[in-house]
Amino acid sequence: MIETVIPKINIDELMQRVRVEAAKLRSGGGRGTHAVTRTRGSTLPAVRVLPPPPRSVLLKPVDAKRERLDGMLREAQAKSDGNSRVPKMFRRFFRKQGGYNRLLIDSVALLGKTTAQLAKRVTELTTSIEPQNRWLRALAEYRQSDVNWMRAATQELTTLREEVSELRAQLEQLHEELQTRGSSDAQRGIRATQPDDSE
Amino acid sequence: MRIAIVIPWFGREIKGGAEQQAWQIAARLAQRKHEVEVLTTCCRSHQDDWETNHLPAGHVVEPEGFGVRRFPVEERDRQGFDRACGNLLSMPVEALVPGSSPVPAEEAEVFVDELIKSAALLDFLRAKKSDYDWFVLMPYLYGPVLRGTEIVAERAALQPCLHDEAYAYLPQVADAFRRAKKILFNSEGERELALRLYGPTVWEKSAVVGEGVEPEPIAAASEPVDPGYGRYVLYLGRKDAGKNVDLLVRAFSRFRAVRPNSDLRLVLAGHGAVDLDGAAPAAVDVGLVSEEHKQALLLNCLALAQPSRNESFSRVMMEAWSVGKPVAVHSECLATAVAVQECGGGWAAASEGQWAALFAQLDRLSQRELALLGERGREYAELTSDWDKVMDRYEKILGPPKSTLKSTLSGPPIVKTASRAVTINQFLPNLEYGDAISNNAIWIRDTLREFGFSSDIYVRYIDPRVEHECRVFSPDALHASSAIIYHHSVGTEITPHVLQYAGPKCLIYHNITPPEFFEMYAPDYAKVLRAGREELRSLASQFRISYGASAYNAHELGDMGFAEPAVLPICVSPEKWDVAPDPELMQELGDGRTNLLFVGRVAPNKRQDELVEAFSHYLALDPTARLILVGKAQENDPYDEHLHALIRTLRLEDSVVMPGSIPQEQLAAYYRSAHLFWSASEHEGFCVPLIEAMWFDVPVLAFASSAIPETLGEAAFMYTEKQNLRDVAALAHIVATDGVLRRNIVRAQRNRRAAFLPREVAPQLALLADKLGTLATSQA
Repeated sequence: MIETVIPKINIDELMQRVRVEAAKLRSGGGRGTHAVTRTRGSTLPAVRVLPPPPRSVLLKPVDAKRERLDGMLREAQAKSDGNSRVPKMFRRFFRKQGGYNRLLIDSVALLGKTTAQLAKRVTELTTSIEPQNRWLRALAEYRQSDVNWMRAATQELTTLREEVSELRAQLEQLHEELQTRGSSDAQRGIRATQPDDSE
Repeated sequence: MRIAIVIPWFGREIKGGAEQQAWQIAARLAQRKHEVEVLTTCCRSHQDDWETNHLPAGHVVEPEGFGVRRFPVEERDRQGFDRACGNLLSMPVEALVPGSSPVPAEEAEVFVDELIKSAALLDFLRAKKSDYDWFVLMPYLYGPVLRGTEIVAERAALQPCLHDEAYAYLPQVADAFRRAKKILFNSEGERELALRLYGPTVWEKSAVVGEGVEPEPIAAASEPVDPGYGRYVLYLGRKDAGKNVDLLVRAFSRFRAVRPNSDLRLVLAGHGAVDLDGAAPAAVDVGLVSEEHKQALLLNCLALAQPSRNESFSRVMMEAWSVGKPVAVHSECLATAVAVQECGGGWAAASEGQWAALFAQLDRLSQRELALLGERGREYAELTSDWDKVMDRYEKILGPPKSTLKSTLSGPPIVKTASRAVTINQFLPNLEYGDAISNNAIWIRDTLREFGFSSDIYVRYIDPRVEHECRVFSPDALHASSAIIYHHSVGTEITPHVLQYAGPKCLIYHNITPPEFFEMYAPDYAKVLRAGREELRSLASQFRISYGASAYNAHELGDMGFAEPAVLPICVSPEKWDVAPDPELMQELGDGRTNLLFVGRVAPNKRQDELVEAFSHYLALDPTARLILVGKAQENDPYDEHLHALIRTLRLEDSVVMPGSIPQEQLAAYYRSAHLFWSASEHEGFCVPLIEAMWFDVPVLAFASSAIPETLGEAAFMYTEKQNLRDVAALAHIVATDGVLRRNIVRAQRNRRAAFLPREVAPQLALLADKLGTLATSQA
């Protein structure tokens, strides 16, 4: 546990002293939270304090631009269909191919942009979930250590309860003994103070 | 050399320790062909009226070859002085706190200025200060010495003859220690006392010159005459309360009460009288004795007892050692106790019981064991109190001053003359007051200028407290530089500009904290840290020259792809602490509670939370202890909030102090009052506070992580496991309270801290500057 190259320091001897001092701590407990564990010969593990939860990053929703996309697609459809007053067989000569192509390209670009935004948002979500996850894992560990503490405390309470019952029994026994001794002493006392009839 | 010795009273016949010493120094320096003049007053001696001019003013030359120039004394405010002095003398030693004046400021002024006054002497110093190479001013507590040091500060060699007494705690005395260019001590213990009272700046400018003791010829020549007291312990000297003789007699009586049949006696010789308190006839007061009788007493005693607490050097101790007799001293008198501890030539005791036990121990020891101890003392005395060696030390410390760093570089100049026309500028994101990297950049700039380069610091963000130290970053300034040094840190906007710079450039890496530490508390900052580390990898091909502040950092640079990174440690000089510590804080912290200190910004990698937790265990061993966590915390920082919550949960609000970012005077007060520097940090690229703590002689206990073992070097005293914080707390308690362990750690730290002094780091910087300079010249 101790690492040093300073001359004249005997690590073994020092470790022995550390053990003695630490034993005093184990029997005496600490202050603060550890005061809770300060019982006679307590072996309760230390209570660990959980760090605060990480701040949750509130991400803005991705705007899918659905209406704009629908509008563009409707317009492209119209440009592809051509004028309804023109007879069907001639309509293909009146399709607005240039406008249709532009709208199609714009729609694909818009979709691409939205997809990129979504991908970025997914990455951000993963990153922000990571510390939350870590904290939850820590919480689980702390929870487990609390459970261990409570188990140890239960054990200790049981022992203490037994000791208390034992002490109570001893106390009652002593009480009885004292009472018995008291009454016999009282009798002796009465006898001692009674005048001697023979005199 | 032309040397002036400034002393309030001077004369061949004066019996005072400092006056006799001054005479010896003057005579012996003159003998070594130095031009020596003693500047003193016309007042005859300390025992005479300080307003009377007993001797004529003017200049005379003594037969020993040195001059004496006397100046008239003048009227003084006797009432005011007596009042101030009375108040000072009534202060119990236990109530004195270093850095905190024992009397109000006005009273302290009156004490210093109305003790013995000679305006003519001070005027002479003002007018002639450049006519002498050095002014040796002694002893410390008189107006002409304290005010004189102020006047001739740049050439002042203060020889304080310091005692642990109320006068030594006056702010004017502390100021004289700070101002003096050199400090000359009579003993190692005296220097220890000065370090405790005035802080780390004393160390670098001081030297222990010692004081010579001339062996009496009769001792060596003739057979020792037995004075006829049998087996006895000897006390030699004045028998007044200040010398603690009463304690010695009481302890001897106590010893005799336990061992009535012992034949051990106590013999007291010297001026004054003492109540033998029923210790007679085993204890005997032989009064003032002749020199021959004194020698006989010394040669026939078992040991010498020196129970005084107020000594800056004990002449009788050296005399006893020089004839091979062991010495018992008071363990609270640093001057004597440190000497005994250094050489092992005797024992130290403090209380009456300890002194009584010491008599018992002495009674049991064989002649051979006593002779062994005495021999150790004799060797020490030979080394420290031989006049020739003492005068060699004076000449060494008062030799020609080494004014520049260049002169500290050994061998031929490392930086080539041709390189010196170049401008080497430094670039870093910000310059902050008290920040280790900022201080390092300032030191690099100053040293480069001393080497003859032109050099400035350019930063993006400036702390107003250091705005005079730097300039605002601009790409023009960058491109106008012949060569640059770039201090790499995270998220800086100047990095792209630096990358575009085509001239010779060097990167200094102070390390980037691993992001894992921050993920739980500040995920955004963790991202920045991660990006910073990634960015570092991309810089590897851009910098042909790279340095880490430690081998740990340099190793990381190597891992990132930098070619042959070297090490340029951070320079930590005690000169930085040439400030008076905050007196109120010193008073507050000197309340007898144990002060456990950690200095570092509030950050998860520093593990202040773990310190707090371990400290909650520590309190069971020392319930009044105080944990001080100095360091800046970001506003609304989740880790800081967690730390405060932890302190509340553990109910430690009264025991944990978190003063935040504080001025130098307050930080000095915390370091000065600390009993232990305790670090649980899990990541450091260098850790300047460890070296700072070393300068304040605070033992360091640190968790062995990252660069910490390297920074602590041969002074490392670390723990390697943290699973059981009770064990760590127990270890901290042992270090904070065990005097011997503390001394061993501090001794190692005193060696280690020297590795970061300017004189050690400057040659490494010179190599770096040389590389840059040569490249710049060849490119031009």
